[in-house]
Amino acid sequence: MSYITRTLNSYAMIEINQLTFHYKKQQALFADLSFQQENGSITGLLGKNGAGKSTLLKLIAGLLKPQTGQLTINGFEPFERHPDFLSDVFMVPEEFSFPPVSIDCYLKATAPLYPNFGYEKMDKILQEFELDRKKNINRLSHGQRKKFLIAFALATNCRLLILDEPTNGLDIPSKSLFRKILVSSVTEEQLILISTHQVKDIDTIIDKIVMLDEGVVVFNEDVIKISQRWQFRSAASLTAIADPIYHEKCPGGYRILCEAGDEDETDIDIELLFNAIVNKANLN
Amino acid sequence: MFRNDLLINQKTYLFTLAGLVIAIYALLYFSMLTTKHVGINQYSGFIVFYLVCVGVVIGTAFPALTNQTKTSNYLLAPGSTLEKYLVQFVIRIVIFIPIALLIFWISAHLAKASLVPDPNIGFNPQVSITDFSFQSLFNLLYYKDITPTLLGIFSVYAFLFAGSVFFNRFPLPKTLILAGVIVGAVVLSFVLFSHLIFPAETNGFKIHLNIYKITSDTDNMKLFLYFLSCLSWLFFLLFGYFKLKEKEV
Repeated sequence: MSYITRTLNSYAMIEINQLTFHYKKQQALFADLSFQQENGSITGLLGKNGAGKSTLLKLIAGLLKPQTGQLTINGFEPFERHPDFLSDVFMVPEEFSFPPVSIDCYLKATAPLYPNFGYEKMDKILQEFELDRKKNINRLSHGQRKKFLIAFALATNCRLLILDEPTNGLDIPSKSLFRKILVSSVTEEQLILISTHQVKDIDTIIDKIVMLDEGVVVFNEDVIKISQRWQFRSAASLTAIADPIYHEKCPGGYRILCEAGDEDETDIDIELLFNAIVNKANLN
Repeated sequence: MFRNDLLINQKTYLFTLAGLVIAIYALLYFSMLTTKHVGINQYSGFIVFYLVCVGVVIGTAFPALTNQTKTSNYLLAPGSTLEKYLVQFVIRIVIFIPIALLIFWISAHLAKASLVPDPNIGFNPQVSITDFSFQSLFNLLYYKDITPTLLGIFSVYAFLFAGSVFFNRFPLPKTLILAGVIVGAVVLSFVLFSHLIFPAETNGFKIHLNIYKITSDTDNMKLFLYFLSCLSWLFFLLFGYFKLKEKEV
């Protein structure tokens, strides 16, 4: 099927049906995973250590081959690693490396591989991140290299951006800048998939939360719907809240998850929601 | 992808070539200077050593596959597997081998030209140092056909090239160990079959190879070696390609 045909047809950006995957000589990590995701959102992929987040991202990027089931991204099977697929997907891994060349040289060599690369966008983000194009990438600090990688990822204008722990190694101002740049540079045609444990770093920018637990998608909800259905409150004692769904002790009282009534919507406490799901609180 | 590789690795490639020029020139020059005599037999020793060095460069192809992080970057770079494979093949084999051979030829002539005649000890480089030529090397071979010999060398390089895709960490030592294991297994199987088929003529590892004429200028061993050299490179190159295609991180 040609690239044009694939583009014109309306595919869900990520389409996973009954996927199974296991590493060699290990138990199945995904036994019957199904998951769909349209473009036009920034999705937070959450889960405990070992839940399979990074593996899922690698499967989506085409770095791993599923044993059975269907996995298509933009109509492509990722593991075929078709050049048109690869030029429309960019992954920012948790650990990364660069060749010992300057930013300029790297851009000259690598940017042409991405047909939609935005050179002006790259310049703008580099300026915002205060990165000097003449510097050797490997002489930058870890945080600066991460910022360069994020800048490059955003400038590729790939329809699928996969960010694995993007805020690890960034200082506080850079985290805030990262959020600002990400929100301002993402278009409706793109899907940003962010896997992180630093939920506070992304809680204001994501518009969908997907949670993985033991190889299963246990939660998949839009942020708007979460706000409409549940309230996240703090109280000195539990008696103040009728029928809390889940609560946790915190300095000064409790953080409480409860059904939303007619009261105003509250900010989402992703950490509390995550813990509620992990502890199998009844959210139905 | 080709442009990408050249831009990223240009310094590495240039330093490798420069290192090769300096090393082989110095080796040949000092050898000529100290021994005062270099003939085609001596050149054959140098060229074998030099071809081993060329093998090292080929056996370290796909440097991006030596660790997980680099492998991810490499596999996710926009380009087909065939393109990525061909880039390494063209750079490390198609371009590098002729350049390397040219470097040897130039170095050999340059080293000879650099020597100063010394009448006191009767040393005249024009007389005691043979002019190097690749053609004269083939006269030393038992089977004098050039094509199968070249394909045989190419097969060894194709084996090293495939090994660099197959093994993730320390590909060159592992490929050499694998080569040792394969050669050992072949020798052992020869010994075993020799014991089974020619028990009277075989004694321990002293085996009997039954060589017989097939045509007036071809014997069975020659035919076997020709088949081996003509087909194995193709197998190794295809094997390497499919291994790269199925690479996971």
